[in-house]
Amino acid sequence: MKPAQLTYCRPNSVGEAVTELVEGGWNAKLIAGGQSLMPMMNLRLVSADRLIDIRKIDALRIRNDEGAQVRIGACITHDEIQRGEIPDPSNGLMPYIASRIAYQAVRNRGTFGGSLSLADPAADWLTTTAALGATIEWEGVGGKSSCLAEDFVLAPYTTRLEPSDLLTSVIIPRLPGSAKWGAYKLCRKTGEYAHAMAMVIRDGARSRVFLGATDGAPIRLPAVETALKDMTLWSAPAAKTIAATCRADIAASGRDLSDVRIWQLCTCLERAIKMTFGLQEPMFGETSWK
Amino acid sequence: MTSSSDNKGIGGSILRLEDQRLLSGRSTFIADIEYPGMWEVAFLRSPVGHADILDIRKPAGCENRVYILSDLGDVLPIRADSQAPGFRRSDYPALANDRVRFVGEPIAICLGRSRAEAEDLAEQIEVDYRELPAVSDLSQSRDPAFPPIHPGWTQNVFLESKIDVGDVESAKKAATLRIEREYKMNRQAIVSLEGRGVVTWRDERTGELVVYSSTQFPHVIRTALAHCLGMKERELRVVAPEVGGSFGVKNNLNPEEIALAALTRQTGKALRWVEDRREHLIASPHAREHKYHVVAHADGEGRILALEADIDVDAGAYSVWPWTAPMEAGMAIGFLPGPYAITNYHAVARTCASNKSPIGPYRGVGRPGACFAIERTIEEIAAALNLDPVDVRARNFVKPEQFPWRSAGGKTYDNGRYEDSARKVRDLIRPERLSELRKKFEDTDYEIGLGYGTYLEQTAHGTAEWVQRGLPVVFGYEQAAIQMTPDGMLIIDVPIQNHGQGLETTLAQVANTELGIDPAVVTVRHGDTNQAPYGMGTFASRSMVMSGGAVGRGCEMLADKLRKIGAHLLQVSEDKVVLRNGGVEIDGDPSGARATLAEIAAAAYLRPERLPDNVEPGLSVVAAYRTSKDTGAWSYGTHAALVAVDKGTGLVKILDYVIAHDCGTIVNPMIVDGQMMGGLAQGIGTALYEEMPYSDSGQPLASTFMDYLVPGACEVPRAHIEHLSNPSPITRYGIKGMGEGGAIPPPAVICNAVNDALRGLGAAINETPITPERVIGALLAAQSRKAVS
Repeated sequence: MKPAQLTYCRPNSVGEAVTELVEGGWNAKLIAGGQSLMPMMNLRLVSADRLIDIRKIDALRIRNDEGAQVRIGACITHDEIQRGEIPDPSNGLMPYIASRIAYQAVRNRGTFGGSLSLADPAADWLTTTAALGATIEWEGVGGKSSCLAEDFVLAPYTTRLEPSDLLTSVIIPRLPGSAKWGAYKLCRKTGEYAHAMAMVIRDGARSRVFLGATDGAPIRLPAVETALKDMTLWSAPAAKTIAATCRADIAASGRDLSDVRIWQLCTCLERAIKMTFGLQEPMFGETSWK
Repeated sequence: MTSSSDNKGIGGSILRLEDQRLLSGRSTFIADIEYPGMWEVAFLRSPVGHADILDIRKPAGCENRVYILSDLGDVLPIRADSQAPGFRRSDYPALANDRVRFVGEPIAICLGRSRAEAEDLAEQIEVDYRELPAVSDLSQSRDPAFPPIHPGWTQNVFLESKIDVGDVESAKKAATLRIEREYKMNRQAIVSLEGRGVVTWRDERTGELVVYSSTQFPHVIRTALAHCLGMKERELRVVAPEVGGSFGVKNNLNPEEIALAALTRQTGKALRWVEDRREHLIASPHAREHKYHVVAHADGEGRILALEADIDVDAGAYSVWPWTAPMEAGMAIGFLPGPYAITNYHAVARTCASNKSPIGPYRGVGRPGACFAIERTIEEIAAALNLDPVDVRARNFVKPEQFPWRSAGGKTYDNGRYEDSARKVRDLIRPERLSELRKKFEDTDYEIGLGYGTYLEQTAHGTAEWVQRGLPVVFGYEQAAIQMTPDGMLIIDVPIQNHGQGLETTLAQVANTELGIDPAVVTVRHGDTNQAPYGMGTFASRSMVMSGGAVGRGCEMLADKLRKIGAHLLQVSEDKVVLRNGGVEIDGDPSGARATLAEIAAAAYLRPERLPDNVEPGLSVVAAYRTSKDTGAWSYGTHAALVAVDKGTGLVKILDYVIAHDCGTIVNPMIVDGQMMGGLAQGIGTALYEEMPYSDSGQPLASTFMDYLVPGACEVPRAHIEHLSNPSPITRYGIKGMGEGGAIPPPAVICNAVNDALRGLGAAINETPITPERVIGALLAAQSRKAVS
């Protein structure tokens, strides 16, 4: 498990990086944190004749508080978000999500933009940025471009980025103080990729609800968003409504998900919504032998 | 035995002597060893499950860096024949030449100055394959639509064996309860922290072919290599350096070991191969993959009157040496009756072949599957009769007065108080908490369950057991060479191999018990055929009994001489002295006159004029040991788990875990606790996480840790461990082995607890690992059954 021969370069600007990408063609790969790319290269599942290291590009390390929104550079690490080293537009959602990505060793190096560009459906940031109504910005030979995060992913590991495009930053609109969020993901063990996740922003008519870790892009649940609009407390009838609405939304999405996966996604959604009402999962406390 | 804090001998919880070098990362593993001019090896491995090789083309200009079987000179294949009648042979070549039989099978050796360079070469080799249908599921092994995996075979089954004991038909008629179940324990990788690895070179001074291998049994590997390479044993030196965990995966003769040794013999090149994690997951020997169809016939109080079983094991593509392919199924059929006095038993066990990596030994060998099947069944009996599962076990256990017990599986159990362990565990887990917890989580997604599992662990099997199993090698004894140095300290050379068990410490504790010597001045060396006398290595929970016995025996011989010399130095007769506190003293003498070990050793080596006339100079002995009966010393125990099953996700959370076990006399309680916890971690892996699935075409589907999950620190609860200690009647000191027991019952215990939790919902699960998908699948199946009825 050692990578094949490659050329390594470290451009100083986005423009230089794009030039390297164009010259390298299909066999050029960007590397930032390398937490997914390095193992893939070691396994020789991915080969990169030209490895373009973008970590030192200042423009990709921005963290601009622009009032109604925050612009976060692609090379900001999960750890920097987790520790609150960037302005937080999300009422605490982003640090919460960041602190639950894989293990600390991965968070130390793995980057926000790298995770989005790879577009593993289980990546936490795909669903989080979709729920936050973020805009993803990139630059390529054709100049600058952008789209809403929820429109960014076309299929697993496939995004709107062209081979010469470089994701530069993400604009996160500031959540109103009144907005409540909830997030829940199903991992088989601590630090593993999620098998299902749900992300909920409950903010009256502006509520946004997404399921993630599916077979592609995060799935938006419009009927659940409508049902949440007037929900003021969590109750058994509310749970029933949400479960039925969630299933209807999943069916309407046209996605091909197994019965087991749908069951788990509905659970994640229910728990994420409960979280917006301040309800935590039951604690087991100290049951073990003393 | 005392276990007071000042006891450094048998029974003392002294800190492990080997830990400092291990914890500070200073020791020497295969990947730390270099030799001038050494080449790094990468193997070209088969990308297909089953194919004829039509042609292999080396990259032009690289002919002296790429080697196939015909370049290795005379090399015999690995032939692990079982003596059992009807066994179908499989010859396992060092490198595949005309046929590949599993994904990952080595085809060519590639050399580079770095591993990456060697891997580049492997990518450039062109191989023409004619693909054949791959046997990828147990249901296909007897299907004539699939071609024979080995020449001359009529079906893809290594061996079918039967047991028919007692009168099953009459017993069935007396039974009032019939429980019929199917159980499956899926295939696992073994996942030692350090993978396998080999370094070879030619020692021009001694003429030896030197083979460093991360192995559990260097002497046995030397014997096997000598055979396969047509060399003399004296021409080979095999060394196991520090071995970073093994659990059985390094307890086989590997094609890689033969291939490197043969190539060094042929070319004189020094070589190093370090297995990477992907190779380890797909091409190291795998474990488990058992399927059981069990029918138990019981009376109204849960006594098992008769047991019927049909067992299939997928042993993969080749018979591994020295264990042979049928070992797993043989142990499954032999151990299925477990701790129970079952006298009517009819069973069939098939060792099936497939196009998968060969099955080899892994902590517990055969028993986790057998324990899973019988312990699930006994709890199903208890549930069907609405009886306490511990009470039902107690009615079925072999009773203390019935030992030695000849089991329906053909094994002889030495002794035990099985009921004590089950009752102890029930007291500790406090089943009365169940109703309270269930009430607390009534309106949540969490279902609470409690499960038990009792296991037997045959350890330190002697000659008769290995002969009965029909293996090519019989492992009935162990040797130790013990020398006192001229300064009165001790060097013990043993052919067993410490790979994490703390044997340097525990063998030094045995020396302390015999000689009163401080373990801190005892050096225990292992892993080198040029140092230790011949012996069998570390596996099958044998080393503490066998090597401990040999060290004890040798120290006893040495003590005799030490007393003779000491008495002479003190100018009293030998019957007046005792050996204690690191010296020879006159018994009952208040003056404190003594001869220290250093003074005695100095006399023995440096000042022979001080020796009595009837004592030869020197203080070194070689001792051999075997148990007084050779049927094995049987450890046992009961585990219990309290779990919460999350109906929303399918995840299982272990709330509490309790162990009460008996491994006879305990040498170091702290090390025993560590072994139990390590075994439990792997048992939890089997129960909840680890699975190596294959596609229809024979592709392994979990070739990295992204897909192959092992439990981490967060997934392993701290268990409460209670030691019961009933010494074995057949071993020196009454020690029983215990290295595997921790890993045997957890799949049964956790699955029992999960079923207890889900029973009220009409859902059942009888397959490991108990994944979220399987749990939700079981709940969905229960729902649709309800909807139909």
